Amino acid sequence: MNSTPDFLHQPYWYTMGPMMVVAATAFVVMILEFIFRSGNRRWLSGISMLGILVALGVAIRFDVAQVHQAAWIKPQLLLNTIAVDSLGTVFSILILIGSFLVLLFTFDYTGRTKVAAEHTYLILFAVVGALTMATAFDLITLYVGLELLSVSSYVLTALKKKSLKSVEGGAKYLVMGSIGSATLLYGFSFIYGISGTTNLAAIASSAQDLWATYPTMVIVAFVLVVAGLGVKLSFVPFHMWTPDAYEGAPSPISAFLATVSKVAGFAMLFRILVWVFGSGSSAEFYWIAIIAAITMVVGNLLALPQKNMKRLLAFSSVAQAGYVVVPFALFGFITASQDWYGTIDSVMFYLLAYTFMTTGAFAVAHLVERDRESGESDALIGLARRNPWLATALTIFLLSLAGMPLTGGFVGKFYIFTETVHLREVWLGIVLFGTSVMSFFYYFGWIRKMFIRDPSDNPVSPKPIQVAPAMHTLLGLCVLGTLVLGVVPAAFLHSLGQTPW
Amino acid sequence: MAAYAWIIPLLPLVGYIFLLLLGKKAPEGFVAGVSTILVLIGLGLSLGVFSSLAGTDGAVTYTWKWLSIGSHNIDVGFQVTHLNALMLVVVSLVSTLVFLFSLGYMHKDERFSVFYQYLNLFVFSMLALVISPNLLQMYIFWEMVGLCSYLLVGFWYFKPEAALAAKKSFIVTRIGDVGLFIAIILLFASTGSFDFNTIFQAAASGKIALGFISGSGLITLTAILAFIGAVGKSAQFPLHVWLPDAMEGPTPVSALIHAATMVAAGVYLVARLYPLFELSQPALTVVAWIGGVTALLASLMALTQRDIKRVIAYSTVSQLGYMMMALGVGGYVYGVFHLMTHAFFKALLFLAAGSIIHAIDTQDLFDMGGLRKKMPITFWTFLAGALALSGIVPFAGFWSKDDILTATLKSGHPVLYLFGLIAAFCTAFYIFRVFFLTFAGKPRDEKRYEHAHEGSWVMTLPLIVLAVLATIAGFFNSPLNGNALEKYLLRDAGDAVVAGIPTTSPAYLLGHTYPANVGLMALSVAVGLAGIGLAAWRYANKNREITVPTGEGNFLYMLSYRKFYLDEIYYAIVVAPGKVLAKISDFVDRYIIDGIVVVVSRLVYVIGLGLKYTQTGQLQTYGAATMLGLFVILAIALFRQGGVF
Repeated sequence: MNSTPDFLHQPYWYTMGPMMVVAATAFVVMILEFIFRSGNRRWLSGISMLGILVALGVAIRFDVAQVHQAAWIKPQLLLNTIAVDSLGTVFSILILIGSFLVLLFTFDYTGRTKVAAEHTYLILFAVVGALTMATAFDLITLYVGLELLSVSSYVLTALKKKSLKSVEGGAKYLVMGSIGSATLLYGFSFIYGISGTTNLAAIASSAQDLWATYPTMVIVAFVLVVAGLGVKLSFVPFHMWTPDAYEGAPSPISAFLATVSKVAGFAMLFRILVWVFGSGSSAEFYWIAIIAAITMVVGNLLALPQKNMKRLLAFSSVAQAGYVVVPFALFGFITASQDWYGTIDSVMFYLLAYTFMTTGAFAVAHLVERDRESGESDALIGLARRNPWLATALTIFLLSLAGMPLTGGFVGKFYIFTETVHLREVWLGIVLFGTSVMSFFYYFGWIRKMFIRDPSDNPVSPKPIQVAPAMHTLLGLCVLGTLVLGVVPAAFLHSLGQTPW
Repeated sequence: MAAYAWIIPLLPLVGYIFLLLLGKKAPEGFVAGVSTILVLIGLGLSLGVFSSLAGTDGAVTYTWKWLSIGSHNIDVGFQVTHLNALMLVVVSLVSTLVFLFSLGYMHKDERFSVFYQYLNLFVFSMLALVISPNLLQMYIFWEMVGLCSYLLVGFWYFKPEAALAAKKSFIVTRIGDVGLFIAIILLFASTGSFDFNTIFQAAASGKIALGFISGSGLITLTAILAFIGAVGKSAQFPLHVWLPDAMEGPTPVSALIHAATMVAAGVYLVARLYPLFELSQPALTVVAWIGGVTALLASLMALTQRDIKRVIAYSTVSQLGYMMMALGVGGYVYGVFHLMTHAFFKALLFLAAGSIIHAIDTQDLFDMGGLRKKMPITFWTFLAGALALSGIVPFAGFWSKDDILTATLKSGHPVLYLFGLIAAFCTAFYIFRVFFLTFAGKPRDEKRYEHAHEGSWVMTLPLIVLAVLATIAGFFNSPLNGNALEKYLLRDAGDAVVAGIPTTSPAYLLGHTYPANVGLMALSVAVGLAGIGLAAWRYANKNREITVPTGEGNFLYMLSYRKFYLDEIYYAIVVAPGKVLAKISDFVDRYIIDGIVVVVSRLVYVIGLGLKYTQTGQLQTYGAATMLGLFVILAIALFRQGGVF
């Protein structure tokens, strides 16, 4: 045996690989940003995208190796803080895909709008935080990842210094996010108090005893953790910051908050629920079911009367979070081990579809808003004639968000619905179905507006909207993702569901 | 080779998308050329697939997981059996010729490109239907061919008859589709799969049951429900009424969709599900009798029609009846064989009719006459088609029709045999009535006659190719050829070997075969010749004046001419009560349901508006609401837990 440890051929290059690549890119971009103080600095976004792509490559390579069960890959712990498992890897892939789309969005945004250039590497640091949330295996590390993501997000939201709404949204997000962090940390302190450790594996092994000995403490910790993360994931009644932050933030950042930040939040919620609270009674998971139901109902109700596009998308994302959290409520009712795969599969599938359709919807809303200089949904009137491609793309995203067949959103909802039926919690499925019907009302309101004629337009040749190639690419990717997931869902269900974890 | 079968449907899909992107203004020759070449490549591939399966047993299947629900997987993919391979060849061959023909027929139509788009979409759906490996995928394409048929029948939508006919064809076939859909759901519920082979195996081994329905009961039920779908699509009695009306579509469409391919899909469905049907004698009996009655009734209706296309349409209904009858009496091979020969000679007859209509611009038989000199190619090719249809030796129809009649008699169905024989007589009579009225004698409308001319090569070439096929296609399965097709098709029964089920299991026998009988052959040819003779005596006789029949006082004539009054009867017992029902439900919907919906939606909106005011924009409110929510949950949780400490 060689006495010097072999640092090169270690699995942590793969699980921490994406994180390291993104962090390194962030530092490089930060230094470059200091060096090149003037001129068009869009290329910084380009470098960032490149970094994200490399990280994505590393993550996918690791995932493929796991699916084929290569000998050198075994789920294991590294330094007791990071888990090498495919749950983390698949969530990392979701996060990186979302980040790439958001950076593509920023690439276009920075070319036209003056914003502080710091934001490019801030996004990257936020992504590092998100990746940490997906892979960390220790309460402290999880929390550090969450704060890295959150603090970057607060700054990013308030990026438009001259815009009152942006600063206001950032401030509100900061205060509410801090409340969430405090609550979460308070919940962690209970867990640490009764178990004496912050390591998830250690907690999981002794969870059964803790449940029996300190039921009340565990309930308190559970509620605090769910509420704390609920603020970040904007569950009702912890959602109130959402519309203000989304409306105020620059559009790419709104998309970031709605997609990447949420995926990471769900990953963390999943980790904690399974490892800390998974072996307890099913009673406390009822709270998640109730929160899911309330979030679906209130989110959709609030979206109904919204006139502003980004505010409507914000409430729609609240409702979508309600759909995604439905499978989490089913954890308490799982007995067979393969049912775990089914539920987590449905979460991941929906999050992937959700990333594509939400980013796409924000992108189109942003383009329309810039063209008409109005964020009201009336700006959509006549879009089908001004730019048929934008109208088609947005129609596809909205249909997917509403859950029409042949789109990823439908398959995702259908999958969650079948899980509720399978695990005999049909009432949640019915709420999901009922509130989706409600959502048709406001999504179709937009579609209707796009396809009616704007009286102020020139009837023969309406003024077309200028769209840059980067945005075309972004929309193309999102449309492709939404449709491919809807037509051949098994292509992704397969890769997600077969990974051992 | 069979591994590349998926390319065959893909080609017309590529054509469809290409034409769609090209837009409506694309030049005619280019549009038709691209489409025809793509389908022609498909034909080459089909022939390759067809020949590669010769000498092999069983099916070639490729599937991918599409969706999994619980423990059930739903696959997509494609499957090539010997039956499928034959269908691929028939569909792509007829499509190629019709694509070519349409270039001449649709010349200068305003929506020329759109016509080819629809045709391409149809051919794609039809080919994809043929190679579907499971019922769900098949059903999707089943509905898509229905949609294409609707679009193409109503292609000249500005003609009110065409719009009405399109609607009628769509609705009537939908009635049948409901049956098929229920059958698919029942089969999935009882076997947990849409896959053909899985269903057949479950049925054969008796592992099929659903609640209170027994296994054999379920097989009969699903077979009959699926057959209802076939009845709609293949225009069998009592749902045959849509097909003659569908003749309002352009004639190439009639040739392709309403003679050779789509209407044969019903027959194909029964053939595809044959292992299921074979397990249920009642279902087979139903198939046989519906087929026999349809063959007879439709041939009687065809006797007196004045519209050339309607005569051929009723003839199609009648011939499809023959195919169903063959399947019903156990003559699987003969039904499929007749499907093939019929596709050739019926497409030929339709295209020839299209050539005539194109030349003299009328469909009324009593405005024609004497066209032989003006249109020699059409004349000779039509004659080949008519002889094949009448079942005169050695034309294609003779071999297949005779096989069917033999199988019907030998399997112990003398009444059905009699039906078939009468229908054969009528068939020979009505098609030669058309023949003589069109080509023989003196022109009855001089002005139209003057304009008549043969079409260009794009129209005559398909006629010639089809005429050759109508003449020789029968030899593929004649005793002279050692019944080659029969042996080829029965290779599908070899699936049983692959699946590990003994071949003696009746599920995989695929019907029975009967040796040719010279006596019965002679009888059916004699009957056919008698029909031709009667037609010649009546319509090609210089001593008899041809007048437009009024039919007054002649009950039998009117019965046939008015199609046994079935349209009127349907109107009285289905449409009229339906309208009353519609009025009632309209009232309920408009004033009661709508009222409730409006009230609910207003209510929801008002609640949303109310909630909107919770969104004050005040940070203090947000924080308070969050903390309040947290405390409420915490309090209830602790209370339920039973105390704090």
